[in-house]
Amino acid sequence: MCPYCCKIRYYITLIGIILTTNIYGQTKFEREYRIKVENVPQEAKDFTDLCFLNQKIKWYAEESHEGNTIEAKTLYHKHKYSIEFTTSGDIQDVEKEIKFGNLNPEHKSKIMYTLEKLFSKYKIIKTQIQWKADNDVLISLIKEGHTNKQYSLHYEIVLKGKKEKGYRIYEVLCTPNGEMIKILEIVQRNSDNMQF
Amino acid sequence: MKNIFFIFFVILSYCTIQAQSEFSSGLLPGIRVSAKISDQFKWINSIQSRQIFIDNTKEKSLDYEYILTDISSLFSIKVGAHGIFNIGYLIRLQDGTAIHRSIQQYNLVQDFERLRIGHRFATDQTFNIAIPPQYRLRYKISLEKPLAGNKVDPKEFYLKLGNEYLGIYQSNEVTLEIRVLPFIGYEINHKNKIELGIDYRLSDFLDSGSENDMWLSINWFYAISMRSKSK
Repeated sequence: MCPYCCKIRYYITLIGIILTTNIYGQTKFEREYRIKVENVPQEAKDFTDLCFLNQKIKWYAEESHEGNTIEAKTLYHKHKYSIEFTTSGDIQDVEKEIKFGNLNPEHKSKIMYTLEKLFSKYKIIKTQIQWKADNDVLISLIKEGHTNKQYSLHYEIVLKGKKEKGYRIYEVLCTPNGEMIKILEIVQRNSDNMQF
Repeated sequence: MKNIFFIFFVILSYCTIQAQSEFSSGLLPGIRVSAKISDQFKWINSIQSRQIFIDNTKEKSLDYEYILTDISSLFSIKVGAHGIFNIGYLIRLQDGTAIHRSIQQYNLVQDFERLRIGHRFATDQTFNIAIPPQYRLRYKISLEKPLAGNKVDPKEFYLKLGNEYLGIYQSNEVTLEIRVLPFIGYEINHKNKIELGIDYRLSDFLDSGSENDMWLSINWFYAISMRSKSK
């Protein structure tokens, strides 16, 4: 083999090693992609048909280290909804996007109290109501906004918050009493390709 | 995918039609490696070369010619939730000499529901013994749109459109350059991205004869870092 061909083979091998090392070196894998309605479990379609009749629904598959799910996204009565299902079509939760200012005043003040303790300064980016309940209860909540039956209510808030290391984007999950269940720093995707 | 190739074809045709005066075209391959030092700091190194295949100012307009290689090193500082400040140096190896360039950039990259928008405000200063110093003021806007789902995930394609405006000051003269950069990208995994597209540059268009450069650009972005949660 000529020295030129050897050199090319060396570089191809080197790039191959780097790429392969990366693929196996990952600790977390997340992927979301659009799927066709034909690939959605019937139970999931039945649920969305009951809630959002004649509404355009976008279906997504989500793959992560926590497992695979199916998500329906739609706009209903000027609110963005996302409904998460298992791959067999069982409902996991319903999320409804609302304005933070429109929260129940009691819940709002308790959440604000918690956020003020967590951050020296913050700005709300997105607020979602998260409901978990039986299907018929969830349907009532979506269609009528209330129910007398039991259900679990949480708030998922995405915000820009200032802590000791400056401003970062966080996702906070809390109860209506302002009790914080989970806080995650959202690390933005690598943006080198957006800079250069 | 067919639509993307159609857009590429339309832009290519437009660029060719526009190429009435000085026109050159070639390859612009580049590799950019970023190493995460801490949550706030990164070190970004790159190498990019330029090779011409078409140059209508020459007698033999269709010919291969190696032009230059750029080697750059930038120190990157995260400022707030969306801002990034880059400062660094570039050495251009051309015709057996080295051209030096200092670079300062401020980037603002924002994530939206199904879109990512980046703004880059930059200045650079170029020095070489043989030519007068050159000062540039640049603004670039980039838009990234996933072609599957709401965000770009591994093993997915995306579309990236860029538009840049450059004000150039050299020897008491000010010129303007406009760049249009349509790219198609593929995220191999969280650390590796490959982008292929056109880097079209239009300059001297205020004078009678404009200068058109159209490069076929291929870039590999490699990040030595891990992320805890993607958005």
